Amino acid sequence: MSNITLAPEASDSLPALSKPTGLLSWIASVDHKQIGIMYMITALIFLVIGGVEALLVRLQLIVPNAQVLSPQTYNQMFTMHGTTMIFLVLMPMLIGFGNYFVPLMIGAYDMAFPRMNALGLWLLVFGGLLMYYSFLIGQVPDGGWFMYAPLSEQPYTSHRGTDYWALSILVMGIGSTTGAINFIVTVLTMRAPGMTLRRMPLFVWTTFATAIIILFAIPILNAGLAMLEADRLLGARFFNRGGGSPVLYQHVFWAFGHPEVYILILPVFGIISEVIPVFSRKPIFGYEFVAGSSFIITFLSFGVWAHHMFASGLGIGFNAFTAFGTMLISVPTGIKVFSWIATMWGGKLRFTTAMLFAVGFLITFTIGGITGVTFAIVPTDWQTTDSYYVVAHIHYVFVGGTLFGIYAAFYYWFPKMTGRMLSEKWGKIHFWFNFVAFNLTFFIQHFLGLVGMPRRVYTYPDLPGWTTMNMISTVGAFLSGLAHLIFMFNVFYSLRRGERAGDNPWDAWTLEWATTSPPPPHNFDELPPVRSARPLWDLAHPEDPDWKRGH
Amino acid sequence: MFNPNSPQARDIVDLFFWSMVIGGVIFVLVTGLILYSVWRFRGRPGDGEPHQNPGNRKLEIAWTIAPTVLLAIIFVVTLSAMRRIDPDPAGQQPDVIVTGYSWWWHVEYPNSGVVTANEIHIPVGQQVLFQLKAADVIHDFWVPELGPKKDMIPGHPGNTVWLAADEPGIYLGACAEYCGTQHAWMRIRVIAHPQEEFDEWLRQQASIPAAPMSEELVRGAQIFQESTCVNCHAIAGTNANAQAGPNLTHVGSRLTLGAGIIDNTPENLGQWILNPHAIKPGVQMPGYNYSPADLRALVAYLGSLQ
Ligand code: HEC
Ligand SMILES: [Cu+2]
Ligand SMILES: [Cu+2]
Repeated sequence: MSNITLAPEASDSLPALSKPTGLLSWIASVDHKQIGIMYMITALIFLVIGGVEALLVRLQLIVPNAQVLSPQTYNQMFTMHGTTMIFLVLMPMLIGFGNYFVPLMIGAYDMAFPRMNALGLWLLVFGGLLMYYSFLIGQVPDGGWFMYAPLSEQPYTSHRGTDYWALSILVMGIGSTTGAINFIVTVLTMRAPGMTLRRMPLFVWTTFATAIIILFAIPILNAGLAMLEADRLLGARFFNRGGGSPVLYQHVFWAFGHPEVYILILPVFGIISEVIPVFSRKPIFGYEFVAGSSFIITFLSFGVWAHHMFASGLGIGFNAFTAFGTMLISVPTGIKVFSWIATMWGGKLRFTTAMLFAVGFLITFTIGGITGVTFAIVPTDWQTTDSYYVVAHIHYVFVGGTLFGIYAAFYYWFPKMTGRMLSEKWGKIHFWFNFVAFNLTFFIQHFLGLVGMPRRVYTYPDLPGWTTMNMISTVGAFLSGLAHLIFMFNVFYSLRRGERAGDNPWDAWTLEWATTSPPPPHNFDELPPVRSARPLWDLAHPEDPDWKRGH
Repeated sequence: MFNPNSPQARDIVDLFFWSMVIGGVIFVLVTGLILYSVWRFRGRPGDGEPHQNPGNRKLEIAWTIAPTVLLAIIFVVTLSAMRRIDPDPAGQQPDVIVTGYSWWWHVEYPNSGVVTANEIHIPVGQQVLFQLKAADVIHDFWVPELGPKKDMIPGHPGNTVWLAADEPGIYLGACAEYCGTQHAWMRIRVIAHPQEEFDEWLRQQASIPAAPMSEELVRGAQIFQESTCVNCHAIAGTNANAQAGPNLTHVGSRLTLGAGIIDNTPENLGQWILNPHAIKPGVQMPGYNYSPADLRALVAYLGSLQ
């Protein structure tokens, strides 16, 4: 045992790692900005995939008894569409923006744990590849994005689709949990001198709140997935007959699933709270209420899960409790909407594309919020749940809400990330196209649900009005697809041809605009003093700084 | 849901209507304010910065309290509506027991012992208590014009729902919980009759079908009994008493086959027996290879089961 290699003699200088270039400089990166961009690229790629799945679904429904897809393929498509959009598009997109902008907005040089940050990204990417590998072996998940037991259990689903689904979400869940810890620690420990909690930008506040939700909600899902897999692979009995209970699965899933809705909307509230003030040329109206209401939402989001289960027969007590929580949670959301309008009130509005998407968001999200309250009125939920009315509602929240917010963020922050502006001309075409096509697709679905069309059906009988309404919806979906392509085109076009942005093209006020576009690897050469939530306003207006104001 | 035909369905539509009125007022208010500010406060090139107003505590408190009060009222209304629309059956025996199978409905009338499938007959003007069960995965029983929907959960036989129809007619419904390949074609027909007509229907369904008379019918009955049909289906008065498929005792009296996917005509019935997968892919019944004469006999026999 004498030939053990010893550490090299200290007289030799250690070999220096050469600085990676090209693709490796991205893959090996632990820089929060590169990681943020890679999150966004991953999300955009999956947006195309999930979008194609949605179009196939709508194509199958264009007329009754169409045979575009077999029933089984249809079921796979709506399962993968939902799963993809939630776990591989909206969540990574928002986490990507958080990654890029939270450190910049608090004046930090990176996230608190850069390597863990990279781990989170790659777990997402590999989780996504694992999910889609199921296509290659021809055993695609088909139990819906909610994968209810016992349908998802043996013997009702004997193929491996469910296993791919559960394991890949488990992998991504580990990634997002590490990300949540990273955000929490970053916000608590890495803020620039002078940036007290009460001076943090609202996007940072909402991302912080989101991280707390992720930290508590995703482990619940992961525990549920582990139980499901124990049932499927090891013959356990958590969720099926003979000891277990299918209702337990619903509780576990929605204890994650409803907080998830807020994971997908809170960061958007933050984005809107950045965009509207800048383009109204006024500070946010009621900063404390807007920030504080995010935490009320965080707390309440864990008490409303059973409103997905009003038809399960949980009894009047449980239903009443959840209905109450659901109504209550619309109050902090309402506070934000009123604050945004009051921010616009008395401003000097600039209708950039980012602002158009923010205003479009206000309108569509309000519709989604109002239909949301009808689910808290338990008896109306007994009619509308699991019908197309819900499909309409969730798309008003996730597309008219989350995705419009994400587009606002792109138009607003693209100049910072790339140094070039997104074309405003194409941006406006994109907005109007998207806004009209979106409403064309989804508004009519409220009525489809109300006349009795259940969701997740691969076809429907030719009842009066059903065909026309479905056809309108399908046409709208294809126009929406075109709108998203206009956006993609705008990105590629502007990356080459876009106007140079400069450091602060919008005259905005938070710290990310106090450095170059794109920022250097260490983010800031020098930070301005932070004495309010709008340090760059204070810098530009020494005669009227925010910190002299109070209300 | 737009054509409610029972007190509870009307109750729900009323609730929905008022929630839409309130929601509509809020929507008009919000979009009105947005559009007004968009028009009134649009900036022009060369404008200076506007007055920097960071908020107004009183206003913020007001728009926190006002919605809370409004929602508290809606909550109280909701609570009383829940009790009204879904009262506790308090130990009352169900009038109808419906069990969801993939992808059809087993229907039982415990008081008369009648068993049928997919098409549910009820008397008009009466509250009918349904007990909802599931044989395999979760299904959900939804007839929008007659009342609320409820899940059918395997291993949880406790769910009940009250439905009623004011007028005679056929009311369409469907399974509302995703339950696999043919969730789309797990449809329901509720047929409401005046009381006497309903009693007559019940009497007829409770009877055992007359023994086949003609040669063809005898042949058809024989084919049925000698085929594997008997492993899954039941026909009262014969040896066939399995429950894995719809009860066929009076299948000839039904309007549709395959939980609503095709009309019940001899032609369709023949197609169904030869290849149900071509009609309802994934269906849990095998196809059969009969000579045209045998098929005709079998179809005639099943059709005679009125
Ligand atoms: C493996 C079990 C099985 C066997 C064997 C079987 N069936 Fe079926 N059958 C079913 C099931 C399950 C359904 C309901 C399918 C659905 O609607 O999803 C059904 C439906 C039917 C229906 C339609 C009933 C209705 O009211 O909708 C008829 C008629 C029928 N079978 C006749 C037959 C005949 C005749 C045979 C023998 C030649 C047969 N079945 C063999 C399982 C079986
Ligand atoms: Cu079903
Ligand atoms: Cu179903």
